[in-house]
Amino acid sequence: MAESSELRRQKVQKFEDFVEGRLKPDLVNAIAQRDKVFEQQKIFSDLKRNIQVLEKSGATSLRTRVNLGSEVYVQADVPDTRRVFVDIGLGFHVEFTWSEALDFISVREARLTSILR
Amino acid sequence: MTGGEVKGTVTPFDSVFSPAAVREAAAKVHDSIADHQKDLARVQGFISDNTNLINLVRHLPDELSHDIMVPFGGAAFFPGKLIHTNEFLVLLGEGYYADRTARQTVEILKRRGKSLELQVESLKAKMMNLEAEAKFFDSTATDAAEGLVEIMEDYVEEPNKSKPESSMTTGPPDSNGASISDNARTSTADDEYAQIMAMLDEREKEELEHENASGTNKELGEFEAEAPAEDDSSSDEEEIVEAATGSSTSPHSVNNKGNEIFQKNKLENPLQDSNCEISGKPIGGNLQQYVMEQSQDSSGNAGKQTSRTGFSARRSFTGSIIEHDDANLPKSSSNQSTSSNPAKPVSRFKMQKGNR
Repeated sequence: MAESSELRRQKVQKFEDFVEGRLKPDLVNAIAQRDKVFEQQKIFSDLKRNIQVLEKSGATSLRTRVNLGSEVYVQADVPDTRRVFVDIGLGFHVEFTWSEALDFISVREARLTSILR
Repeated sequence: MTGGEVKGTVTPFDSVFSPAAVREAAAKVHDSIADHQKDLARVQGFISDNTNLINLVRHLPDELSHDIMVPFGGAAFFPGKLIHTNEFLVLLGEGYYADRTARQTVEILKRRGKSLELQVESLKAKMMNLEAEAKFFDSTATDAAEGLVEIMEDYVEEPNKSKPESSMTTGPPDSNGASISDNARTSTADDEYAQIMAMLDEREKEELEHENASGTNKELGEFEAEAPAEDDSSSDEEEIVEAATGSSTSPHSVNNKGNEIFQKNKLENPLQDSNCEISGKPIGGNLQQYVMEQSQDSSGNAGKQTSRTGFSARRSFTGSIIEHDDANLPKSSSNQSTSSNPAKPVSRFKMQKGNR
């Protein structure tokens, strides 16, 4: 009897170790990656929203404040907003019109959600 | 160290600081050092960013406008221009902003830089402390591994005994070192004291011997013991003791340390006793003055004196003067004696000298 309970205890110990050593770090990694994807998704959804707002307002020029770093802002003027340069990955930016940009964004979002799944 | 036995305890370092525990502690300290290193790197990055920003803000007002790519969200840009190049919106913290000119912004940024540098200083100080700690742990670990042993002994407070030892450890020896110096000082004092006591003891012994030898001459009351006088003096060379007359006083042995006994009696009798230089019969009621001198003579004279003193007490007209070094003293003492027989001391001297 003592032996079997001893064996059982050992097995339990093994499982615990496995959980701690393998599963939990895996979980942490997976969560980190998922958060990254979420972030990307958010960025693109925000971009889409902004472009839609721009389109609706029909504003061609824009006044913004640009962060120079360390929260020091300088006024910036955008004379022509119809041309947007979007980061498509691997360090490339493509010049889009609004509608093109919107298309691209939706494609991108679909890809991201497929990764999540 | 002359003590042969191990009186204290011998504890191997391993038991006090177990190597495993020490290594763990060392590892922990190393980890915290690494953390501080990271923080230091981060803050130094901030400082460099700040410096770059100061330069930028300084040069922006040089132009009316700059062509830039204006970010739009995280993944898009707009081509645009920087305008109002002398106006900057600076975050002061907690959601408060300030519109400032370029120069004022530069001042703000400089102040930020100073506070960052203070942070760096404190971090560096902490790291140095940690590094010292780590070094100590490492050295202790290696010592323990090598089998260094800590020896603690009790201090035995005797003048000739060995002094306590302490091993070559980093921690404990401070207290032992202090105690060692104290021990040295007290031991020398003790040595002197012991010597003095030994001398006094010798004198007393010799006195007792004389006393026993002259035990028959109890009537000699004139002899005053030198013992009390001796005790009084630790380094006296001469003592003159005047003993009261009368036989009531018990005879005492004379000082041994090369003392010579001055005994003055009436000069009549004693010369017949050739053996005894101090021979002579006390004339009752005579005031006998004993002049006892403690000369520097060695106890070689003690033997002579024994005989002298033994006899002198009773019968001797103790006018004899036994003096080795000073010829004047006897004369002076003889002057003190009754002037009835001025010649006799002289003759006695001759006798004594002859007897010698």
